[in-house]
Amino acid sequence: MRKPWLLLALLLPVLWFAGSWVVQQRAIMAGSNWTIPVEGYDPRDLVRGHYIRFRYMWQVEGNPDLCRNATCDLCLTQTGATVIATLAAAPALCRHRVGLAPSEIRMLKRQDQLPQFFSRIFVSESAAPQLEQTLRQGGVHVEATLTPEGRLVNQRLITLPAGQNQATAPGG
Amino acid sequence: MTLDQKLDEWVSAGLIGAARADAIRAHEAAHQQPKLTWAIVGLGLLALVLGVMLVISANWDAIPHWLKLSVHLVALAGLAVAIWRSRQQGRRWVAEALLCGFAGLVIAGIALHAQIFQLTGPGWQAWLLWLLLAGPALLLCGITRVSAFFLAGLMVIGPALMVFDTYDRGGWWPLWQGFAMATPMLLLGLSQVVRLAPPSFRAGLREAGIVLVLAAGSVVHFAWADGLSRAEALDNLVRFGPVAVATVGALLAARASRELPQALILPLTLGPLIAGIAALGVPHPDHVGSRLVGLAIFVAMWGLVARGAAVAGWSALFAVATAAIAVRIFIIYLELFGTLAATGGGLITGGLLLVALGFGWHRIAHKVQPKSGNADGTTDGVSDGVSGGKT
Repeated sequence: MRKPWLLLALLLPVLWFAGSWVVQQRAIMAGSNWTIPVEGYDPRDLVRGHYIRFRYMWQVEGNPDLCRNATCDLCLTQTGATVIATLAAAPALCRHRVGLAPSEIRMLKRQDQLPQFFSRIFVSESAAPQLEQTLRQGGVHVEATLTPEGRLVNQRLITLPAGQNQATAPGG
Repeated sequence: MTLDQKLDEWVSAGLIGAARADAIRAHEAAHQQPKLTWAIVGLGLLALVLGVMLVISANWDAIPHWLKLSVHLVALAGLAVAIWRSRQQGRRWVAEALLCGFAGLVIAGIALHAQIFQLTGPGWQAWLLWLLLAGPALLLCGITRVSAFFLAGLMVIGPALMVFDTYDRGGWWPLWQGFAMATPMLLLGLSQVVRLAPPSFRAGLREAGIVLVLAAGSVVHFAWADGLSRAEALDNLVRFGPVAVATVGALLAARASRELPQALILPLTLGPLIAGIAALGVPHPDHVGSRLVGLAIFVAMWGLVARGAAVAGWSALFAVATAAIAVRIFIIYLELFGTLAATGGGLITGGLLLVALGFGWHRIAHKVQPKSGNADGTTDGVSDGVSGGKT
């Protein structure tokens, strides 16, 4: 009577982690890839814990009033080599929608200015000092995947050679 | 003092004969554990594990995501199988150690998935997920107090963090916060319900439940040191809904299981609930009068616990209750006068009260006869962790 429950209790985490892996991997594989320029936004504390915090240096457009209660979405588009993030009321009906909450993107609004958007990425302790140095020098981009559900997943930080320091076209 | 010295002392005091002392020495020698060997082997294993961890962490970036996730899944499944087999072979401490490792791997997995898939959020969400994933295994496979305290920690810390983080939110949040606040009482009730669990595990849940319920019932008294508006009190009453339901459930379960001494059931269930509702559910100003009311309720709550503990013969709980009342009296003195030396009269009164408390404790403790069972006649072989032995 007790054994099936015991077995289920022991299997529950195994099944959950396996399921989580499948769900997350499928979402990432179905998503579009973006390469977005970033800047470390706080030079005094670039690396906190094992995460590097940065600001997306995309071109922000649209009406900032839509984000008054932090309920707006972003619509990503590509013009030439520039990534444009257009503010839109949530839920936005666009092809490449970024939900701020599911992406854990923090928004900073200033009076009469377009909002700025911040995120973070995990880095190992051994890689952190080098990345911090690179972020200070500039030219760093984040490779991110935008899932169909609107979650922007930061994959890795890269440095592009001079003259190629802008976004790549989104691929499916 | 070594065992040899103790045995010599007992022989010279006439408590045991020389032959019995020799028999005890022979028994101990035959069952002596090779502690030094185990300590050296343990140190070696610790160094090995730390070395492996350092090698992995130094090359963390070079390890592909799929490999990290696969190793974690295999390790988790392997531990699950090992726990199952250890239980079947009756190796309880091995099973218990593996179970704790299993629960540790669950939080490691949550961190790993968060790292690889960039899943971030408030810390309490990870704690609650840990409870949901590892809690059932700890509850159903736990054998000793170690896993019981592990489960108790998970049941309390995550929900507590959630309450602190979401306290200002409206909507349904006060109700969820109420469920979180009910976890100490749920632990107490759970210890009365899991009849098939090993006695040591049940005792661990019960001890954790009693400690947390009384701690929560005491901490809420800080609310008397500040004013409470009507709106705040109403919100708190919503929060106390789930706590009240959990309290009634724990009370009924304790009455049915007869594992808790009958004299302690009401002081451990309704007492803290009433104290909590009075402190957080009734509007009051920040005034000397309300502080004195708070003091009276605190003393009443712990006084009932002390009485129940005395009747049940739980001397440690009785001592804690007495100490809690004594400390509270000192605190109210400081609250009212700001210093112990403001008026000699207050200090004398406080001192006399403490002496009276100490004297009363001494008399009651010696009046209660040593018992082999609970006040209601049931055997309680696992209450020693809370009661600290009978008087």
